[in-house]
Amino acid sequence: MHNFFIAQSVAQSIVQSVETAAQTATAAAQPIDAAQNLGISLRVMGYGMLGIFCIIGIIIFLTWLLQKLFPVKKEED
Amino acid sequence: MQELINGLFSSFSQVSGEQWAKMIAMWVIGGILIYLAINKDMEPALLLPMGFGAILVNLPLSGVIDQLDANGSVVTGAIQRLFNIGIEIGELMPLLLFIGIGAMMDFGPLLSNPKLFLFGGAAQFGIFATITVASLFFPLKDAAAIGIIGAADGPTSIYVAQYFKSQFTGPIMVAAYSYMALVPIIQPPVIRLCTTRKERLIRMHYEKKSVSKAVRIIFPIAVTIVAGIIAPTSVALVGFLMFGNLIRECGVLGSLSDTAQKDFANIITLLLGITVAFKMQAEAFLAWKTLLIMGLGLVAFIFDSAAGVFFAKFLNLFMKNKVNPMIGAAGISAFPMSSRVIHKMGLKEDPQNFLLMHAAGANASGQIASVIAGGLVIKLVSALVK
Repeated sequence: MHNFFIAQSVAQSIVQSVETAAQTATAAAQPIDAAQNLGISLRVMGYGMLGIFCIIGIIIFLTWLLQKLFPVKKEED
Repeated sequence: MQELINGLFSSFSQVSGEQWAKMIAMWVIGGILIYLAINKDMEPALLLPMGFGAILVNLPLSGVIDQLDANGSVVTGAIQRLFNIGIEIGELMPLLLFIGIGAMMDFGPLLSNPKLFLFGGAAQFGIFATITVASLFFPLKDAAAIGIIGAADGPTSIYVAQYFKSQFTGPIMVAAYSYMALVPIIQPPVIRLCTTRKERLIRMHYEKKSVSKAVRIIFPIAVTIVAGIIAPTSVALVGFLMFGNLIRECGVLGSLSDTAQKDFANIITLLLGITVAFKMQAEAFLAWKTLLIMGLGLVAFIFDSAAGVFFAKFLNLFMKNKVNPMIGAAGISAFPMSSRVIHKMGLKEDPQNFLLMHAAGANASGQIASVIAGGLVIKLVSALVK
């Protein structure tokens, strides 16, 4: 039983390695469309920075709210 | 006797001259990493295991990676097995390391001055700027993995690179950890270039405000829920970081907190360093694109620092109590190195200007923002790239 699991694990790792190698080869074979990539990456930048500031805005609000709801007690201070 | 000699030196006959040359080049690279770790004290906990691992995986017919024996059956290699279990499947090791990092983080200065969170957000611009530049040379998923070097956060870099199954995980790791160690060299000239002396002399008043225990406990839970709802892909990164912080702040798990900060983080760091070396095999590592990735990593750190500084200047247009723009550069995740750099720069300009607590707050926010950025990059690139 133990040997079966080892064999299964080794087989899985080989399959993964082959899949990764195949993906790598496919990716390497595809020419890079810089103009298309640039368009997408600029969208990633726009949405990404907007997303970060939205989440941070909510976190700042939450922090402010928590400070109001749970002020420092005298013994804590 | 002849058979014994043939057996002992079989690696010489089975490895071509070109392969030998590449392996020796990787030994030199491994040696350089070990030298930098020991002699220059550059992130020794990671660069030393990575350097030694680079030598280990580049020995002829190395037993630490899977090899075929004479009968054609696979002999399992320890480092490859560690990589498969610890990083390939579920990116476990970088996530576990976040528990230790979370337990080390004190969000107190940040919680007492929440506007410092904004600097953490602004300084992530370097990630996206670098993705844009990298996308001109690499497929978008690889470009995204390279851009994350700008998170200045090793585990996030590994996590994102592995999520996208990037073939450049090895160079990305070396770049991420090398530049994190070089923060004291990279940031000061960038900051000086982006600020005037008058701006660097701005004093910031620090008023020590206490934060209640309830806030410290609820904060990591609340951040996890918010990040999880808005950017579900970031929840693994944010969640493990905040779980570590909750262990620290809850007050009833002192020994677990100590273990997470020290022994646990050390064990994971040790294994992570030698495991990522699996991605430093000569065939994949020795390529001109590795040099390009190293260059892009530097671009990411420069953009991070500059974006933080300019954002602070922008805020100063609206604020009554001006912010020293150098604080903005501390919004990267390299904690606590970046805040120390800013503090020292402040003292150099004015020996009475103590910026450490403000910089530490911005630096802690950089830690949170970088993992959120990692999650957002995964979500956006996965959605936009079919």
